[in-house]
Amino acid sequence: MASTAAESGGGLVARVRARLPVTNRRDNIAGWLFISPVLLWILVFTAYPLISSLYLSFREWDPLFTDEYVGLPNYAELMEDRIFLTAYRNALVYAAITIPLGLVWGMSVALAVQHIRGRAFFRALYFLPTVTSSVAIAIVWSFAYQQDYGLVNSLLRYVNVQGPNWLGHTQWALLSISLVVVWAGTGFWMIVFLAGLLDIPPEYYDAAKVDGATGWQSLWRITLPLMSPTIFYYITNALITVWVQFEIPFVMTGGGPANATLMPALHLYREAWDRLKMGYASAMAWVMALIIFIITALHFGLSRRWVNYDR
Amino acid sequence: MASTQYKLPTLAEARRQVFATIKYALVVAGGIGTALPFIWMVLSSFKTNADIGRIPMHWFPAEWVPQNYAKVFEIMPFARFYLNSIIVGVLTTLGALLICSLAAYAFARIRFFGRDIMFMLILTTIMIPWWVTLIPAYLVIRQLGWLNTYQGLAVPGMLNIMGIFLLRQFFRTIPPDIEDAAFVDGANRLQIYARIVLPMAKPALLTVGLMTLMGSWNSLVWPLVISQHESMQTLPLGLAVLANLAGWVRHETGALLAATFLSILPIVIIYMFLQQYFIRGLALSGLK
Repeated sequence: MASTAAESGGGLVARVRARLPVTNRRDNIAGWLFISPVLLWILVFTAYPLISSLYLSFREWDPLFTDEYVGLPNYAELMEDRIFLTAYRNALVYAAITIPLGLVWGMSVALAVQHIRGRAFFRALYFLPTVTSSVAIAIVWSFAYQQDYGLVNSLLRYVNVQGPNWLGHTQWALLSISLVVVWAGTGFWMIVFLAGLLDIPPEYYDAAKVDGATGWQSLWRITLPLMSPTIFYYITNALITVWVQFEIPFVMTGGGPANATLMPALHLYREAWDRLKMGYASAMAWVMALIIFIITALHFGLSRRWVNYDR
Repeated sequence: MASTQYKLPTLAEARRQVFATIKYALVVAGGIGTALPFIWMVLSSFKTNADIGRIPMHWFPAEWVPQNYAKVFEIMPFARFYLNSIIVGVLTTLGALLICSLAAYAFARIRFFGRDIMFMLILTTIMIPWWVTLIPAYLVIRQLGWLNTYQGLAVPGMLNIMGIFLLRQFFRTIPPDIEDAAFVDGANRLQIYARIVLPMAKPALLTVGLMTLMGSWNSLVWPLVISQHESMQTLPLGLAVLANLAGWVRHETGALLAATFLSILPIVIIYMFLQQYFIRGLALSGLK
């Protein structure tokens, strides 16, 4: 016994160290010093603003003249603010278009590109909009949607379809913007989905083939159930980002025509910086946070029914 | 279902072929759809404004006019926008790499009181929608007198929670023996972090650095609230403001497209050379 202890000297030291209190003074100081810059940033730019915006949301406040406690009326006013409600209705429509379409399209492309020659090339190409600024995308697409000489209607003309005034018509503007967002996000999600697909052991498919399953059956019984954590991640992300979309409508339509593309974040920005109603805008921000929180909680709760984590 | 088993092999083969063709067609069509707006942008940036507005649209310039690229600098302080974007991007990236790697190293390697709780707390701040903190964060910058300054534009963006997480994961993969040897030689924590850990973490630092740089280069909202003077606008902000001026767009489409193209060029070039770092970084970053 004595000889084994001597032999495994390193192991013994490690074991003794493991038994000791996990921390010591020098490490405590060093650790807190190392994280102190990040803590400073979080205090100044996250924690304090979080509390401050809750405080502001109960006040009538602008940076120059007014600072007055009003209590809940900011929130009450929101519920009667038709433009606020319009912004959320638009966001719902936008969510109903972008979330399913982005999922189906991104997944289709990922499935199709999976075993294709030139996969790396296509992956790189599809990813290009992800590295491009939203502003650049919005500028190019606002020309692409131009009624007469725009790219979209010019292509439609090749097949003898007369396209509408995409961004100028209340009926089409929100759809147009949603399609741009799906277009811009495809590459990113394709790569996320592709990573999930490549994680599925090929033996599963071989076994299914031996049992006589068709490709369609394999897709529904193997691929999609095993992809459910990735799909869950997609939906989680989408349920947050739909409410904070700003750049594309800001540049392409400014929320118009007739508020048809007004989004919650754009409305918040206008109230805070164009009309300087920062208390009211803070109440809007908290309603947005609450909605995101509730939806995310519901989504997590429901996920137990369909997300499959055992592989 | 059973019938598929009795199909002739040639038929199954043909079916497979058809399926493969459909897949290829889908990918190629989507690829063309992705590329066309970019191609149109570049080609149109060499057209005269009248040429861009010609109906029906045609792809190639009737006459190539590189003058649009000169005009970019006349109709807006484009060089200034560019310089601002570069300064803000570099400051943000370097600052983020410093503060995030320090924290990530502590979370990965140092056993200190409250470490795990602090790590969880910091990670959960990712869940806060940033529109909630935007107004007071702007007021903080205003209080500091940092409106229309580079520090006002760059400093808040240095906090990259996802970057802390990614770097911590990477630091944990570095064998601790190397650090232990340095300890024996009398090195302190800071020396180990700076001389041993950071040099070994170059790929992870590059990934986080590129994520931060890209975020800063492309961001609109923060510059929009911080830079009220035209001289402090960054590229996306300058372009967004100009694109919203209806009359201007109608008259100088070619120059606006040239400016847009020039504005995305640096990131696109970096992306072409360092693709795998971008893809890894973004695929790992949960909530963009």
